[in-house]
Amino acid sequence: MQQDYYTLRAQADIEYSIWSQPEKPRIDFAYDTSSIASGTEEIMNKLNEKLINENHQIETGVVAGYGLQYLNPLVQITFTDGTTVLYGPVTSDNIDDLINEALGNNRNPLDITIGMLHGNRNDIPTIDKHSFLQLEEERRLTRNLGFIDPDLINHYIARDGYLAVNSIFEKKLTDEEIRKEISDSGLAGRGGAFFPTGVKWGFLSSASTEDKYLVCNADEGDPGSWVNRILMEGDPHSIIEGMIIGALGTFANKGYIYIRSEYPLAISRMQKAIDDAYSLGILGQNILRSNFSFDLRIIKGAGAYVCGEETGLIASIQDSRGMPRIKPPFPANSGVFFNPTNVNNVESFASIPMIMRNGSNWYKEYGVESISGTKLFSISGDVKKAGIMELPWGVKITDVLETCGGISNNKPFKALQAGGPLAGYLPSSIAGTLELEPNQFKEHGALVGSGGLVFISDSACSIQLNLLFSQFVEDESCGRCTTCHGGNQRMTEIFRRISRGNGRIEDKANLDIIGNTLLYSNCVHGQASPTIMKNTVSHFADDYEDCVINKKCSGDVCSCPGLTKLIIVDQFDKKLDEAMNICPTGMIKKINGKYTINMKDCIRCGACIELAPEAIKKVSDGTTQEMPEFIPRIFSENHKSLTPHSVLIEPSSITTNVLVRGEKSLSGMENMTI
Amino acid sequence: MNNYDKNNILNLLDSVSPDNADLLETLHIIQEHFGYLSKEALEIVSELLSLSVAHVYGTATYYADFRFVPPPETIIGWCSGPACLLKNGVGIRDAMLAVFGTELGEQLDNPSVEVCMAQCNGTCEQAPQIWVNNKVVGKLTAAKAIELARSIKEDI
Repeated sequence: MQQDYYTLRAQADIEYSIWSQPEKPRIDFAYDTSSIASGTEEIMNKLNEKLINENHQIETGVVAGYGLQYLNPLVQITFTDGTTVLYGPVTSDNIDDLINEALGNNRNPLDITIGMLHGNRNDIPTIDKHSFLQLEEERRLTRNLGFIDPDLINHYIARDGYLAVNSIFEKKLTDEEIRKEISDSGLAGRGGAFFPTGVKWGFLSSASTEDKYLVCNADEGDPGSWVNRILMEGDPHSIIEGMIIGALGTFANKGYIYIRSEYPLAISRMQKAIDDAYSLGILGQNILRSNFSFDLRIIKGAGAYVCGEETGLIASIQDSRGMPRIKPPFPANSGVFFNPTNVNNVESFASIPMIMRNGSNWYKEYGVESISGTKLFSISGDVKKAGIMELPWGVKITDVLETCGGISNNKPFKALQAGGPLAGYLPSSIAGTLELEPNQFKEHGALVGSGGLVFISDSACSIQLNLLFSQFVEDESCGRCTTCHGGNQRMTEIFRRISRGNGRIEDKANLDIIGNTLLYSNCVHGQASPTIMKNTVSHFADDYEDCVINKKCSGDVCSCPGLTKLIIVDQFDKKLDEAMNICPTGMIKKINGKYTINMKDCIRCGACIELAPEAIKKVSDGTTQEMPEFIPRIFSENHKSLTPHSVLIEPSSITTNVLVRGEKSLSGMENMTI
Repeated sequence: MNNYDKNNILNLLDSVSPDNADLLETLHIIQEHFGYLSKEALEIVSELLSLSVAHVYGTATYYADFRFVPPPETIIGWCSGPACLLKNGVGIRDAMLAVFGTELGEQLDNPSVEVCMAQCNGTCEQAPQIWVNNKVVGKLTAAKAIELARSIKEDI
């Protein structure tokens, strides 16, 4: 029997009011992928054990992390007066403190206190005064983080969840009115393309087949971006509600959420949310007693980056290799199982309910002329404080960096790598003048992308970064276009050669040719794959020339074997024995009382420098010998776990053949073109 | 547990059907249960979902998650994300590979271990990190990684 919204809301309000003003104090652990990585589970188990053994009148629970990831593991205590305080970083040593704090036995505030999430207590400053959050204006997408148990649908409903869906039914809004509200808000696709969501929905609504699909793209593959994970783990129902509204605005009757397999917790939370929504009649037949029906299910990805491209994602849903195809036909004409389909990003869907609840003008309060609203950004790299911020568009990059405590080890800020391996690599001289706004990035040949901001200090080596990013795009190329899989292989080979000290003067021209050829790939993966290389060659010309021509690298963490070498500067340092023992290749030897390093087979891992920092130094003065012939040792696809059952050829022979052939053809190409 | 018999597989897959976007889920279910996808399992899947074995195999091999031989005891996932790279991620990778004397993605029998490439999942405050059997080992250095790898190697 379907219940109406108000019955559901009344039940939810009761449950939530008990939770937010509990009879016994409650210790909630922030439980998400980040806090699990920092050891939350262990502390949680120890605390629970202690509470049972000592029979304390304290409850425990779970919330989603507040975004201050550098202070993980986070814990919050809700007291019986309804006030909530956030603490972190918590260790096992803090368990007694937390218990005493919850019982009100502590006279002084704990030194791990971060701030008040709700209410006033002992003059603890409110959380919005916290230095990491000073650029945040208002939490909109993340308004439920820390305020609900993400596994409980009633908490979401009690905080105006599914109100927007219900009011669409009550006001009998047409699909056109819904799309107009979304278009007026200026919401643009948050996956990185920034195409107006309302317009995109218009394409689907005009299709007239029996089945229409709405797909949520949660295959957040860009390394360094994890904003979608935060939403799925912290507020899963906001995405479901956004999809229901999207279905109402496009007449879609079926939906998929495609989540990458690297996010198991997000998958289980979304699955729980969908199951709960079904059981309350919010999904399925006759949603909230209306005559509208919408079915939703999760597809778990399997580790392919290009499935984040919409046609690749659609191919992956329909039982195939996730290979992008040429557009047109666009998904709005022929998508999942050849039916009209819209693919939108997680953050786009999560933004929909609040726009419908509060109106497009409210949404436009924040943002800039070209793009409105707030956006989640994930900040990492060489910064002192990593985490998530919800920022209005238009915030200065330098302000973001300052809020993150600046570059770690007080090094100079060298570059910004925003939005994943396809989006760009900008030097501090440019990035320092930019605001977070898509067009400003575009002017410099880069993209904002999906929200990852990786700050890079001048310890980094541009060639090494380029090598790793081009290996990534090569590895993740679906293999359909020769321009993409071949082009990225050639690009990787050139960077690998440069990193081995064999850079050639003609490499720049060859990279240029490869970059231009890649533009003829069918999908955005191939087209955008040379972005970082192009940025490097144009914006870091000195760096590039130094590595290629002078065989020198300025980066401290550079482990390019052909650009750096290790020297022993103090033969009498007692730590040299330790360094000798740690060497994984056994290249440090003591001969006749004198330590030597065999640079030919040293892998530059840096372990010896770590243990004997005064005795061994990494230098890059251009005197490193060119490395001998190129020996492929990584990213060969023919490893054992992928060996076909019936293939008789020895995998090792395949490796050599393919890679050697690649090397030779490259040198052939150079002769032809230069 | 690892009894790859047909009924055993069919019991796991009672909810899947053809033309219902079930292939990836089916493969995940089998791999979760058995640790890898055997030839027999792929044949059963193709029958169940009315797809050719070639299609099922072609699809499965496209995705990095799936394995086709029993997995090793220890799987070390090396995070290839940018935050880890900036903190000597490459040194950590090469050091571990050197200790085991292996390549990235190559499965060893003795010790039963594999160092494979893994993708960033946004726990970058722990950088540089690896996953040892899905458990995060964060804030590594090359020396710590070598010690960890040696302890795994000596345990065998």
